[in-house]
Amino acid sequence: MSEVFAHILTGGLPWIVLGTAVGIFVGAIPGLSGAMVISLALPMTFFMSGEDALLLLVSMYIGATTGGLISATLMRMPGTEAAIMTTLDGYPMAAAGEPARALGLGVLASFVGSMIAWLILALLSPPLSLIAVRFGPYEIFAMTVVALSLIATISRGSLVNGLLAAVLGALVSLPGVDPITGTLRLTFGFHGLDNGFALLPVLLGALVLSQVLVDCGDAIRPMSATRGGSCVVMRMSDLARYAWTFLRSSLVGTWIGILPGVGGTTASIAAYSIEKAVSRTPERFGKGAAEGIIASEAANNSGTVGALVPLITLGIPGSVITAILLGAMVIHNLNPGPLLFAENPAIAYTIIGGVLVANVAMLAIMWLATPLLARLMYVNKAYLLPPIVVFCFIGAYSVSSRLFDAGVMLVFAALGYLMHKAKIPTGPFIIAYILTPMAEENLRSGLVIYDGSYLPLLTRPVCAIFLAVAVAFIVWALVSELRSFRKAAA
Amino acid sequence: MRNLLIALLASAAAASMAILPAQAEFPEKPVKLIVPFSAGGGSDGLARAIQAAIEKHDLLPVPFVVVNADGAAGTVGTRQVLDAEPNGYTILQIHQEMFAASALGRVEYTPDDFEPVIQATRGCMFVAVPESSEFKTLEELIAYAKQNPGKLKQADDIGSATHFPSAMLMSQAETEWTIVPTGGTSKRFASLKGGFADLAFMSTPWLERGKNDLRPLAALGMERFDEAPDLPTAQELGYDISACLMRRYWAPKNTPEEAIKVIADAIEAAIETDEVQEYIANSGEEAAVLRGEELRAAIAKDYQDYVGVVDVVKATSGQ
Repeated sequence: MSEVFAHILTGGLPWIVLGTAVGIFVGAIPGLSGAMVISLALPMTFFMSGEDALLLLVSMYIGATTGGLISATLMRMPGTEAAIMTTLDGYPMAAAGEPARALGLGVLASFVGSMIAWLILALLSPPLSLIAVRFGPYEIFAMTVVALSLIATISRGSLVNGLLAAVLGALVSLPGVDPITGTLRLTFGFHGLDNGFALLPVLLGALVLSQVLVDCGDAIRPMSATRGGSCVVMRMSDLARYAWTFLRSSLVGTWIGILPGVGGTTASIAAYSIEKAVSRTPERFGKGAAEGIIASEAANNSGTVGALVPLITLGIPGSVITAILLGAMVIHNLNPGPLLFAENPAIAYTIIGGVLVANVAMLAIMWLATPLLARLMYVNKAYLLPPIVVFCFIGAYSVSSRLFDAGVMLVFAALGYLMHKAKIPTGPFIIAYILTPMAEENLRSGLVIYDGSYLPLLTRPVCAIFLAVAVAFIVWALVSELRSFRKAAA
Repeated sequence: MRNLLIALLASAAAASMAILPAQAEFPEKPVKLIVPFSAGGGSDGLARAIQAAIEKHDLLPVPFVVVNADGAAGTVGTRQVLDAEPNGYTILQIHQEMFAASALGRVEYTPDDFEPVIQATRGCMFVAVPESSEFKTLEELIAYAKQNPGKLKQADDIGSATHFPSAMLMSQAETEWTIVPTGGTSKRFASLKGGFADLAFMSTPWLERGKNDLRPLAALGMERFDEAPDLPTAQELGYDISACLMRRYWAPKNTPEEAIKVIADAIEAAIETDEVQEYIANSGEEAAVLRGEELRAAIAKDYQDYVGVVDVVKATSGQ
């Protein structure tokens, strides 16, 4: 095993640093995704050893999740899907004159989240993955319902607008291939819609291009740098002050990451909502709360690392990127699967060690880069927006190599802009759009498994607990909404 | 000045004359291979391995470019080839997922709307049950299914290229069981291990990977697997079925014969290289090159088999 770690720190190190840096870079640019760069890098790794190939790809994976926070914080544009929740508090804090602190908190949270998940990966992978496979479709459905019910928490204060946005998001997720029967639905015979409204065009349109439109609408004027803001990037005191937020969000993120088919995005949605729910001052969320940034970033990074647990213990990929990693292992004849630990422990430990070193590399790169990146906040947006638009088109086109998806992106850009003008939040829209198919697929899969019976939803303990939590969240949101409404009326 | 112009025109004409014979020589620009699935899967892996071999050994005078056009069970990318100019510069690599979509009428095109170029590999499946299962043999499994129609749960994908051979097995055994929409082989493994399904069709690498968790009941190839010489084939047990993914290359209808030959030659030469042979072995599949009339006959039979069990597939398609 010591040979494995010796290799990681010598021959493997350049690949890790390269992979992390490239990952952060593409993660930061809306339109370029980790999945995209990893699939581009995959054929290039044919000429590398299997170990080095895995180190490079895993580092890209870690870097890409972290990079998303940069654009989310500085421009209110999630660089990756998993950074959606980071925009909610990262941008307000940066806009209030503290971009370096907002970035620093995000980086620190990413690092802490990754490290906690890494400890779990290194120590508890086999037992946890056995619990994870016992999580069937109904359990995942019930958990998704909890995450959906949290929309009510997130949109407190404007519950009606939030729910309106969520319903719209759910509807947008419906056309395309029926997840169970495989037949086409709601495509109206129009083949462009056969694949539905794909994630990347919707995300880039509704969250990124719409923000470009909003920015263009405001008179483009660089923010004055004289507003100062502290130069301190990370404060160790934050670790103690927000210790529970770090810990809760990382554990929630790791567990959600381990579950097959549920990824870092859901993890950060759940962790953010939980922090808001337990906070004594929930009204600060969405206005630059440190806990909001920490929750989102700790959870998405721990979810990213958590997704490696079923991959290395059972050979089950939980996300698009881990599926590509699995493909890389097959190509390099590393025979991934339930026997990897037993028969090829060097590979399992290469991944585990690689994650650790990549985490440290990520922290170092981001630490060095943060003061420079923070100055982007004061750069004239007229220079930043055009390249972002170009990258958005590249990203949308890349989904199925066709221009139709770029059109979809433009439609959702217009929709996102209108929602902004109408003060309807886009957060619940995109959350419902992402979670609805997950809920539908698992519910209907469960119905097939249990011969059409809904009863196991109540008799399986995990399902019942989750559903009770969901009901509690909804009731609580309604009651507090009603109360604040009465207060306002009185 | 005028002389110069004439000279230029003349040389341009001469140059174009020189190009003319070359124009008949296919190919003169990059050939695009559309893989209608995402990066990292079996389809993408084979395509990338063949591409790398073609580039490395100069098997084509032009670049050979792999484009992933994922979406709607392969139909998004397949349509791009269906609509492409039939000039040999756009080709498709897909397995029987195309037949499944056509047989079910999810798409209006059929295999007849394409020209087969070459068949590259075959990857056969086996019937697996969890290690803890009460079924020790395929006969026991089917006997149970006959007594309890619809009760067994098979982890699969509804309407996919493995649902059809499952339906063939059901129709030959004169019973039915339930198909649980699950996903690819690793998700099926999770479903079997988690106790949510009773059986699944798994690819051959899982013979080794799943040896502690799965019990193979029957090989679904024409012959026994080298990796599991003791595992009987379904044919031996009296069921005339096989479940093998055939990875084939296609060109748009009316693509010139010469262009198809050039590409098929390059792909066949690529398959023979050590690199691709190694990749195929690693992925648990086997080279199974077929071309020309043999390929057409194999496709016709394969597709007929699919069309033959459409009713069973529909009956087990859940709601």
